[in-house]
Amino acid sequence: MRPIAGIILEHCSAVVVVALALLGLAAAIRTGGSAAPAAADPRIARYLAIDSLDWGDPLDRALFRDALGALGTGSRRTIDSLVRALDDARLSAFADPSRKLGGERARLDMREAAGLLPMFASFLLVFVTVMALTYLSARALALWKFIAWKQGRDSAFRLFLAVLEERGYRGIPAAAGLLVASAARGILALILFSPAYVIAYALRTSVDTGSLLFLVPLAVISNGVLINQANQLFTLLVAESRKGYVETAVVKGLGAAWDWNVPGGLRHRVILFPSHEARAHVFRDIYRNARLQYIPSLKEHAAFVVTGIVIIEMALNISGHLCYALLRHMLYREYDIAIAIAFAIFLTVKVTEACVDVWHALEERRYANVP
Amino acid sequence: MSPDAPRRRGRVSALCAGRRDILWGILWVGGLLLCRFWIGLELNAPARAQVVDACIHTFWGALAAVAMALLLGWGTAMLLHALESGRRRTVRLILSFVLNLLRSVPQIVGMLIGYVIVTSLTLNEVLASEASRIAATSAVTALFVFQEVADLVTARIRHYAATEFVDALLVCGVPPRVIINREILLKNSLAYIVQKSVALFGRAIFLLCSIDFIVSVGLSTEVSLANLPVTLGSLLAKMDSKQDILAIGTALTDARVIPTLLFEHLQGISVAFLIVYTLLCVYRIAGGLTERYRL
Repeated sequence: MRPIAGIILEHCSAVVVVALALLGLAAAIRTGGSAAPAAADPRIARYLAIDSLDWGDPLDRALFRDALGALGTGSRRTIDSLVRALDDARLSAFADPSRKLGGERARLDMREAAGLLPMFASFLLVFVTVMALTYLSARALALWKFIAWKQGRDSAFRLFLAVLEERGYRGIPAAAGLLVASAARGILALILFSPAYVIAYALRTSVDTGSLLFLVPLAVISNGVLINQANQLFTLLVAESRKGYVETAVVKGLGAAWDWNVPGGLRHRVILFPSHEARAHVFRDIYRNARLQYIPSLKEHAAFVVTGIVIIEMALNISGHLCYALLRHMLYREYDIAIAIAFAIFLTVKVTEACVDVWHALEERRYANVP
Repeated sequence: MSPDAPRRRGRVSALCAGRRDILWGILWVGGLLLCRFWIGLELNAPARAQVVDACIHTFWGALAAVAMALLLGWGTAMLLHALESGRRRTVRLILSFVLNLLRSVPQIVGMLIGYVIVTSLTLNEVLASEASRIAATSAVTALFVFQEVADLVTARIRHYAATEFVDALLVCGVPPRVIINREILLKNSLAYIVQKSVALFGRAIFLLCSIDFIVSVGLSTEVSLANLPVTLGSLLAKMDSKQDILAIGTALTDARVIPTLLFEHLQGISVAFLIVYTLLCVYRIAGGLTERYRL
């Protein structure tokens, strides 16, 4: 059993190490960035200085290529690279913010940091809400699936196949409902596995995809977050239910009927309140033991939830959000601000991991046989 | 009736129940072939070629990422085991600390940083060929998923080390290296490794598509799409495909659009279908393997 102080120390040291590394990186980038702009490549500048060439004219560009080819300057690939470099140099002369008055790259200062704080608060709010909703929904889904499995219920598609095998094609009208249910489940499964950007773009014409009310449910149901988390708990529940202590508990008189609302069975409320319901049922012990093993996996899920939120904010270009700001600052090469945002995201994950570890340690203490 | 007890079923439903991994594998390949057949009929030749190329690049990239993750994970687990056996506690602690740090970096953020490096290498023509760019992106993906393999290999070694199995083999004169690699991993953990590889294949596809989508949408000013190999993610980010996906939303409110989805909006719909259907099937295959081998 790990001491709580040790857990906190481990996570704090990780945060300090990463903070120092990122500070060093940001300082290095700043030093590199504050140097005078690099002089233009003389090879490029030589060609750009030819006044008689209009680089926007396709004819002139073709003549330039032919001339280089005829002079044997290099292979076709080399000429392509040169032309691309010339285009880049011309583009940067027009588009590089550092070459424009008032368009200098932003730096991480107090004003910029203060601007990031509300975005970080919003990110935290979304993250905590999504984590809580995902945990509750995945738990309910896993418990429902586990109890259905214990009840020996087959999927609608398997039942449909069974009817077909038993009655042949004459059974199709009777089993049409099963086929519809199976198709509905299939569509639901496709939605649960869809990357967030597929769902969001599909709904963009009818829903405001930039609002928090859309972002939170999308982060819960998409990217496979919910289904993966539910499956992890379900697997643990199944593994626990196969252990010997379950049979011992049943022999000793704990309830083991898995049907809904029968004497000694389970009530539907158990899906939402598994720790408080079914006190005299073996389900409760199975759930508690499975949950103890499930808690550490929440660390992995925290990182995955963050990944989902980052994907949504970046893919949908939701302005005013932290991850979109990260993308924008990377695009404009404002790496010190991008590093600060990346550190804030890392910190969020690390704090969540520390909380999960402490929770697990406390749960272990509750069940440990300490002499 | 106990869920573990055998039930009477017909042949097809027995296959569905007992070998879900095979069933979903067949469904996946069947779905891909059906999609290929349909786009062959209805999609114009350049777009069709792009969808096929994107599919091949994505699957090859994901396979390469899985291969690299297996290699990295195995190597890391071996190193950790060697450090543990050699009683080099400090070095082991440092390595575990670094691995935990890497674990705390959200995969997509890490991959984004990796893509910045790949982009600069592409611009400097260090990564000149298409294959090298796919390999580089796969390596970035592998870097953020290999720990699952390392955890699995370490757990399997620990599981057998706690039994008399390892001691018995040591007494028989089998070297520790052979015990771990042949007896534990190859002979007694192959199902676990295959299941993990399948799960990682799905994860790699998801991450590759997502990062390509994000990069194509938001960071594509430096490297044009022509420079990076087209993948399902980058193809979905193209304006044509995005408009096709938007048509799904229109179809929800205007039923007359529904019949046009599989004809006029085929590029985006087929790309989205390939991503989502592959993720679903791969998840089911991995679940089927877990169920069949009771992993």
